[in-house]
Amino acid sequence: MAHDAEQTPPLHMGLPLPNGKLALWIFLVTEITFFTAIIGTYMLLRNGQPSRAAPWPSPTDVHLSEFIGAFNTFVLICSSLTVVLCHWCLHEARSKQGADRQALVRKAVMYLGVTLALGCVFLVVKAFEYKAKIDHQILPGRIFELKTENASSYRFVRVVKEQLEHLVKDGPENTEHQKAMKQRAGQLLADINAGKLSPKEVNERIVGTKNVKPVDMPKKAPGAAEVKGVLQKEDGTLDTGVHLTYSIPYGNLWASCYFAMTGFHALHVLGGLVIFAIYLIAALFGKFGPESELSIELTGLYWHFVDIVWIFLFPLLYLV
Amino acid sequence: MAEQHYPSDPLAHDAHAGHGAHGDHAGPSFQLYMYVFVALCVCTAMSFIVNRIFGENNLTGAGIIMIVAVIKASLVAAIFMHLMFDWGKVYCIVLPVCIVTVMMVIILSIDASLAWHVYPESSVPYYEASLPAAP
Repeated sequence: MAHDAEQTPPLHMGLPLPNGKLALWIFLVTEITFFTAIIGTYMLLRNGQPSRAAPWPSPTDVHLSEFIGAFNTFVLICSSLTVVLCHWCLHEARSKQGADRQALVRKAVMYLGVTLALGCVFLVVKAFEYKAKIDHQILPGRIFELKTENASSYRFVRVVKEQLEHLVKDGPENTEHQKAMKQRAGQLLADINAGKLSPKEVNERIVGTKNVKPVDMPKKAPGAAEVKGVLQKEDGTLDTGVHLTYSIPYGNLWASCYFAMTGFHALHVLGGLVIFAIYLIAALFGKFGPESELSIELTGLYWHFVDIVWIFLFPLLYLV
Repeated sequence: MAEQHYPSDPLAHDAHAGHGAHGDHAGPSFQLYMYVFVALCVCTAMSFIVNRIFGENNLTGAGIIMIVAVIKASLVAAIFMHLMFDWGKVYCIVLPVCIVTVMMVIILSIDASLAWHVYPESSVPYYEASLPAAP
């Protein structure tokens, strides 16, 4: 009997994994489904609704800078590296003694601090991006779309009139472009006050015939001349630094998707930063060392997941 | 009849399980982490340059950029998240979700491509025919 018992291999309950790691992976797969739903909805809306006549807003239309997105991507990649190096230092410290061990623990705390700082940089850059959107009223439900002419089209004309009055009165005249822009703005304001223009014609006078989306094109007589827009620069592109609203087909849909995706991602980043801050406070009280290796690994797993989500969000929102 | 032993979970004390949690592997080295970091930076730069070359709404550019994104995500998952070492233990949790994710995108893409839309401009040939002739 005893001989049989010795030959039977011992049984272990559960997976050969720490309970915390198993729990975190289960949590991460729920997060995968969460972000898949949001990103999948964005892909469905983006590919399903727009057409050549009413295309999906370009990054210029919605004041999106690829450089800022790429910088944020770099910041998150660096923070992923620093959190994994923090874990590596704690892992190495387990097999060391004395001064070497203390040095590795101090290094781990430094890497943790850098991770927290980089995460804060990401959120600050995101805040600046959101401020730019708010300043230009690129918000869900606040963007004017002239696809169908209704009451909001005429509200568009009223808003543009106020912006033109401000531009004509207080706009800068430092460069030739600014002077020409102010002159065209004055002419457009006069024509609006005279009641000569429909909402679509106002929009065309703001962005120029070249930059009007086909669905926003006003009915014109054959052979009508091309109009140069108030915001149009010499090279034909738009001056996006001026506060002058124009129609953005599917702009509200874009804004809803953008704020949903980046907003939830930013909340996840904030959650991760709270955990890093707690560990840093623990380190201040001397409660952080090689015994925290697993905890840091688990936090790192969450942080890498947040990084992976951004790795997909950046190209989907800023590039393609 | 042999008694079945259920010794206490060797990983029950998580605080001491850190080393055991990795099983027999030593984990990625510092050098490997740095190589992956450089690879991620290069991939990000590549995505940016491809976008500049192909422009917006270009299928080829979008395809290249998404493939690069998948490569970056795979590097982060395999090396930074230690999936290379833990895959045998967690695949049963992660793999079904990844399959469902891909399936969801495939199934939604059918709806995105084939559904009737509300606005007439979505029926491009009919709408474009109704536009005034170009000057």
